Amino acid sequence: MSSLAQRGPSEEAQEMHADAERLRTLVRGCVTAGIARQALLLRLSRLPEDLKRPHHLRLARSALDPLSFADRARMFRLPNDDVVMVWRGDAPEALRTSLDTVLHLFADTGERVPEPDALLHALRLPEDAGTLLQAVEESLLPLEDVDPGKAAPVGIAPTDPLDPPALAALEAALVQADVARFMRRRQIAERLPEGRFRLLWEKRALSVAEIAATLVPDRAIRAEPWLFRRLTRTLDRRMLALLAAPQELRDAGPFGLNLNVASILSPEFLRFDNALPLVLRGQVVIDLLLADVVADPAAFMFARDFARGRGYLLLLRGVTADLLDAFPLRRIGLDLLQLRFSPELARLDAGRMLPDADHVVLSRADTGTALAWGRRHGINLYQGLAAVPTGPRG
Amino acid sequence: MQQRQAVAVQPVETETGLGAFGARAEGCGGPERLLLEAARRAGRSPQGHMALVLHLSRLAPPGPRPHHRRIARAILEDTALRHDGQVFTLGNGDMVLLCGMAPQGRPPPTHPVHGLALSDPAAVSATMAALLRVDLPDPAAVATVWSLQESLPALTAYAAERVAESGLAMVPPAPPGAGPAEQTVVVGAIAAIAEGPAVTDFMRRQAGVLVADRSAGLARPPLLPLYRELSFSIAALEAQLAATGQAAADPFLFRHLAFRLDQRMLALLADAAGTGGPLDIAASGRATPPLHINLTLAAILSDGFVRFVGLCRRFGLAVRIEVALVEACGDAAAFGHARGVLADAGLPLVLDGVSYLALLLAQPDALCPDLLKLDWSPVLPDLRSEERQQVAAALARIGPDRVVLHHADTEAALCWGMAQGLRRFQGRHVDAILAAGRILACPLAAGCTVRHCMERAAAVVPACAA
Repeated sequence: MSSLAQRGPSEEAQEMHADAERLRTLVRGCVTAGIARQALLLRLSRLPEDLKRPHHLRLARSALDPLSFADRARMFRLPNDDVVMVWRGDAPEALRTSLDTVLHLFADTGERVPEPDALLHALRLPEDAGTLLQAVEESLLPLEDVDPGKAAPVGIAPTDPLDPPALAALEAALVQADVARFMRRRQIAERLPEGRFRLLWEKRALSVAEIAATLVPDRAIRAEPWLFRRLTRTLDRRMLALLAAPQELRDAGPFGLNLNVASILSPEFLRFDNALPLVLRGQVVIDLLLADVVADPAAFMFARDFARGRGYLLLLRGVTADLLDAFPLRRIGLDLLQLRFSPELARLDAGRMLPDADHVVLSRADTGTALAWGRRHGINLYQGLAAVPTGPRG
Repeated sequence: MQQRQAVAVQPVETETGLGAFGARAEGCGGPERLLLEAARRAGRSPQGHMALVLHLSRLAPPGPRPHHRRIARAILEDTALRHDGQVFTLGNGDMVLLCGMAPQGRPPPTHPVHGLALSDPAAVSATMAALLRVDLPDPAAVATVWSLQESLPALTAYAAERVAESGLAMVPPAPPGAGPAEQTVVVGAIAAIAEGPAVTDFMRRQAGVLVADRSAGLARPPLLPLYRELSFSIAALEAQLAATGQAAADPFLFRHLAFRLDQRMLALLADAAGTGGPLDIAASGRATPPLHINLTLAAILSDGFVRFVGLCRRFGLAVRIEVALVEACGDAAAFGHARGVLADAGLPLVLDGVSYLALLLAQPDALCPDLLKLDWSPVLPDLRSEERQQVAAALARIGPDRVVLHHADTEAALCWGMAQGLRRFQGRHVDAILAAGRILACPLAAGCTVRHCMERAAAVVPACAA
């Protein structure tokens, strides 16, 4: 890495292209021979321009140094500044240290930095070969050919909020749009007594930010939160239609979905339910948002009982520390509660018992601090960069 | 609107296959007549067959909603598939399943795919009763199951009654232009009206009252004004666009619309304060009951609200701010900030839009409102005992003195509320009682009706009061 920095720009660019080719070869080899590797994809190309200066990139790359001591570790610098580290076997401590360091680097830059899970991807080969190969291909594209949703610097945000006419146009465009490429996955893992994490299920979601950046790049999609919520219903239906396609779930493991109440009661859900392989029955978690539950309680109760009757597990999200007392999980009648780790949550009285801690999933567990807070409150289920599963699926 | 939206995307509900009963379930001749024919055919070998009538027509409006019909249909069709049967969707909303009975002694299902009792057609009624318990609390009213061997005449009579009715249009079709795209258009159009000068025509006020208890003595009026709520009439705005029911039906679109209207409301009130005009909230003086305004969190956190609070201080106005429960749940951080803003301004918080179901599912009192507005539902007097106890416990926990029964549009609402120890009410029945009192005391009331008097009291600008 340091030798690269001392070379001329064109030589450095050639070396990055060569790295991309090497990574592509390695990934294909893993797939062909079934070789297992761990990988960390650091998408520095997603940083806004003012945070992508050489010293920023250098510091971010050096944050991965702990992983360079892992077995067979190799670092690849891609032409678009993305970095990939690949190694063999488990290295949970080194991975956690690297993730913490990267996040710490950008901790004070606020919302200009992408969400951690857009910046960092902990991957496994050969399962996640597609993600890595796609990253390689993107890095080799000329800048003008790159999907604007992925290439747009996050720091330059559109300012016009969504309004009803723009929403109607976007919903109409979504009917025909190919949204499959915007499917993203997050892993929910259980912390085992020895400190490792075991994969329980993968949450599948469409990246709304990327879809909006592609279809309505001039609109701030979340600036009108209620119109955004309405938009998620349309996206739910597209997602359900994707999952109901033949063979889509043939090799799938347990997975989770964000859905609106109305979506559970939609014709698309019935088709998805019909297409769900028998082996996955009882293995699918549906995440419901609190505001959606409260917006139409009668429809929620109907959907809850229907979904439970079909064997789905139901998770409540959108509950914050301030709302814990008002919305007890058992009273709402759901199986799991997702709490998003935040400084506000961390300030929750340490002596206070978290109700139903064994039914809580702590999301955004991206740092050791989040894990420590979760452990202190008796939480065993996590989603985040600090809770990367290393063992076999649970 | 949710109902209409779902209708638009619902798969065509017509049977294409031939069932064991030898006829297409729906098609020419109408489903009622086909049911009658199928029942007669089934009578030739009734042994081992059954009929289940799902009485969706008994659901109180707005039921049966499209999702009731869709899910019920899916469950019945799944059962029909497993038990060689067929499903009839009748014009009155009911659905009928004719199928074979489950063999006696079959072991219970081992996989959750059968969790909705699809293994035994006779158990479908219990499944549907559980799913519909919010909409139809009496489980015995949800479905009727007949063994064809024993009760074929009952089925035939039921089918004959439906045939007799089938000339009447019982379930009105969804009006055109009520799909999701049209709802968005309606909300956009109402927001556009809100920007114009005519929006004041759609402002309304309504009183909240305290029912005096017996110890107050006869000289005291039975209804004491507690507050006056100022709002835009969504129904009137929808009527203006010939889009009744569309703006408020999608809760998310409606919240967006509420924010747009709030901004306008705050600006109008601020501009009119001290002018002596019809919108001058300071004109009636400090002796009038407090003013209630329902606002979104975004409006409370806006510059317009800062200006409004300044005017309240300047004129010494008593104001309470209502916040819908769904708003508080939509953004807890903003709710926390808004609460802080209200506390700093010395304005009490009223939690609005709390349904009895919200009391069953949650503890909204934990959000610590100064007052809570519980929405009246005609279902309340008929709740199952467990739910009735839960609602009573929630009201006791909150304290009856902190609860207003909202949308008290009928005498039944007042009776139920008073039986629960509630004394605070808002709704059209209250409006009617107040109007009757005004007519009795008014020397110019000759020829006035209660309805006219209610409309004049609700109107804010003179154009409406004419």
